[in-house]
Amino acid sequence: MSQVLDRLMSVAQNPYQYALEDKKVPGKKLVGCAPMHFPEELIHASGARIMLLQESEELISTGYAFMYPNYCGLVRSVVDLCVKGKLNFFDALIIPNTCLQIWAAANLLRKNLLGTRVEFLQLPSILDKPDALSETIEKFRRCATVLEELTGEKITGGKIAESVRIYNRNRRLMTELYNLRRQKPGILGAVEFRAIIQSSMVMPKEEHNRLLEQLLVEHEGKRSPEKKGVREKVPVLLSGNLCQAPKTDILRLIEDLGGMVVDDDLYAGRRYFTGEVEEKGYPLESLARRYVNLPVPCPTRASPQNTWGRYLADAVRDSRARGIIVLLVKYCEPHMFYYPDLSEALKESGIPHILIETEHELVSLENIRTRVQAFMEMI
Amino acid sequence: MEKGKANPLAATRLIGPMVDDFYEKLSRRREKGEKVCWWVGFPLTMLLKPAGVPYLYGEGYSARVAGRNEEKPILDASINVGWLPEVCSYARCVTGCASFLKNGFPGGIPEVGKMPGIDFIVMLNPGCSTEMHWADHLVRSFGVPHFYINVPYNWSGSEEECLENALIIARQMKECIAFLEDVTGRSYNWQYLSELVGYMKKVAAIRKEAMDLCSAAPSPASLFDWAVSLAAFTVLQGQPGLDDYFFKVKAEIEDRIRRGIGTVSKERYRLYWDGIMMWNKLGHLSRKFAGFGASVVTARYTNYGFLHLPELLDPKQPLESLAKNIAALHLNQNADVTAQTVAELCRKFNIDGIVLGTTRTCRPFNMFQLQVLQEVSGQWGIPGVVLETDLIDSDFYSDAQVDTRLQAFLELIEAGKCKR
Repeated sequence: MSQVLDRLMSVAQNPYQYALEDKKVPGKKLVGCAPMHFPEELIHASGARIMLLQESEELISTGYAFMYPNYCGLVRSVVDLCVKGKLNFFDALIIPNTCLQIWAAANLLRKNLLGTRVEFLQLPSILDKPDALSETIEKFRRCATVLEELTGEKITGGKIAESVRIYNRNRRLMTELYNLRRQKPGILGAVEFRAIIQSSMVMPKEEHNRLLEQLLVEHEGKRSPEKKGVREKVPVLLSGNLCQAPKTDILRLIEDLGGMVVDDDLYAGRRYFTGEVEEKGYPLESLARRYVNLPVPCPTRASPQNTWGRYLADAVRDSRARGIIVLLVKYCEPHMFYYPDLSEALKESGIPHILIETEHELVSLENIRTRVQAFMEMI
Repeated sequence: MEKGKANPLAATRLIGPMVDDFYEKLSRRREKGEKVCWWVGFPLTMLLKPAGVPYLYGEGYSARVAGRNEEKPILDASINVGWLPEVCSYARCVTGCASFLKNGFPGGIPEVGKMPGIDFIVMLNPGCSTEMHWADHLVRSFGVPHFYINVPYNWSGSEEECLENALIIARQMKECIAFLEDVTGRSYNWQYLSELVGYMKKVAAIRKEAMDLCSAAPSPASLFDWAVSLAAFTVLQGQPGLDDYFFKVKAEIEDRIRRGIGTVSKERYRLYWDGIMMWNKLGHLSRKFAGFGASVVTARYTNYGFLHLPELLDPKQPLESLAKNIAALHLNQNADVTAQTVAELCRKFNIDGIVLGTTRTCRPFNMFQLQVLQEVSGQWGIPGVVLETDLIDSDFYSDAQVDTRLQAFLELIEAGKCKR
């Protein structure tokens, strides 16, 4: 494995350790934010370090006294780390209203992280209302004020514009890598792609951009791996796993069973970087437009049109996947509520799919193995 | 020791026929070709009456199905069309029934599963994003017009933020009325809305007075009585006869206080319930608690939800005053305010113990329960117990578990009393 990939994998495997080490650099505040819709560019423009909160691999223990087990893994993990005193190094946490479980976590974090400023950001959930854009701009403006108070730095339009350019560069580099995968399936595995995206959520974007540039140089000249034996790999697209990165055990399992992930619709995947922010115009408005125009259909926002099914059908066609593996994080309400309609849309499009529920404690990999194996054979 | 017996209020038997009559009339109106609104979320169904719109209230419908113990085949049918069991069981019941409208009515499903058709949707979601997702599914399935009223959370817990949120809600309610005029082709009857607000103010005030009387010992009424009576504030909102109903309820409570009669024949313990009631276990749980000599006296679900601030209702400012009630609903509040609410109820009603009914598939309700219990127990020394329940899905309920935990819990309370 290349040194670049080693670095990205190491950061992705230990995100909180990385953030804690990085915090030791004096002078910079560390601001955590919860997925999925908060514009990190605002935090970047304040001069603070940013980390998107991640699900830890640590088993949940003390957290059970604060939150029931039937909440999603990310939220339980974050609450568990908090009450164990492992998030105290954050100077601030910004929690957008992604779902009601994140609202629950925000309350528990504020209650238990006494030295950390915890802010809850209520963005409009109904994006087709006439005032959605103006309301979003206003919320971002209020958030910028909080960040200015925290860092002592004025967030100017110029600083936001510069942050947008850096973030857009990161989005383009990740898009290039994904295009490379479509052209040369198997060039990097699913676990490596997960690490590439997840490390972007944790590292400074400037550093991540440099590493991605090196990675592209390393891999652009390479060819797809040779076909193994007489059995061709089955091209599949992964969808879902909102807010958190998919379990590496499941990704390896899919590949071990003959699957090749040719594209994805994962949060720690294409969802994270799709849709650039306009670099012209009023920067705060550009950030708000990206949010309101939702670059990828998202079930956490009001979704009365079944656009997700169409989106996935297009993705399958473009990537030449033969089927979709829907990874549904257990207890994720937005996804659970959308799934029946998504399932129907995929059936109507003639796209085979399988639903795999995943949870923080990966209890039965063998159960998943049997089902995925049957699916691979079917398609 | 002789087992206690449950003694529900006789007056609450009056509400069942009122609900049956409501659904009977609803079906007939649909058959006559009137457009039916499916309302999802907090029931502000009185907003529809001045528009002349008949309605079906989703959550209330699910509670009714479960109250008749007919929910199981409908919930099973929802699984067959892709719903996962951890989804809100109210939603699964309604979407299960909705699927029959699309796919035909299968055998083995009770008649109650035949819902009137859906023409448009209004959603109002205080503290519950689930309702937006649920409404979204119905809109995707049926392609009907819809209007959503999104209620902000009160993050700071301050009165200022509550009032600010009330303005946001009132503005959306006004837009909703414009939507109703558009869908119905009729002008909205604002005068009638004012009258309805005045009427429900009176109804809510009588109910509040009656509830407050339960600070007496033995408690003359229980949470089970108030739960049954909730129909007055949900499907029956604004219907004639509700004031008379609560007058009778209050009169019976006053009579019981005079004669020293309790909701439980031998009140030994006074409990607070956190969570929504399990609608298919109302009678069962009522008898079970009574058997242990436990009066379940109060809950934030009944005492801090559903127009719980009648003093704020103002017929001259109907939308604004309704919005203030919604903004102040317990589900919109942060964990600190929720803990204070629970503590206040426990002090007001002299509570010995807190029962957390987990209401498994209702995360808006159970999200702070453990934190709240820790705070209230820590500050006020009131012990608590967790009982695993749900809204209507019996697969998440175990009688043996409830018996064991409840018995141990009440022994703990008894030991605490002996020490004092």
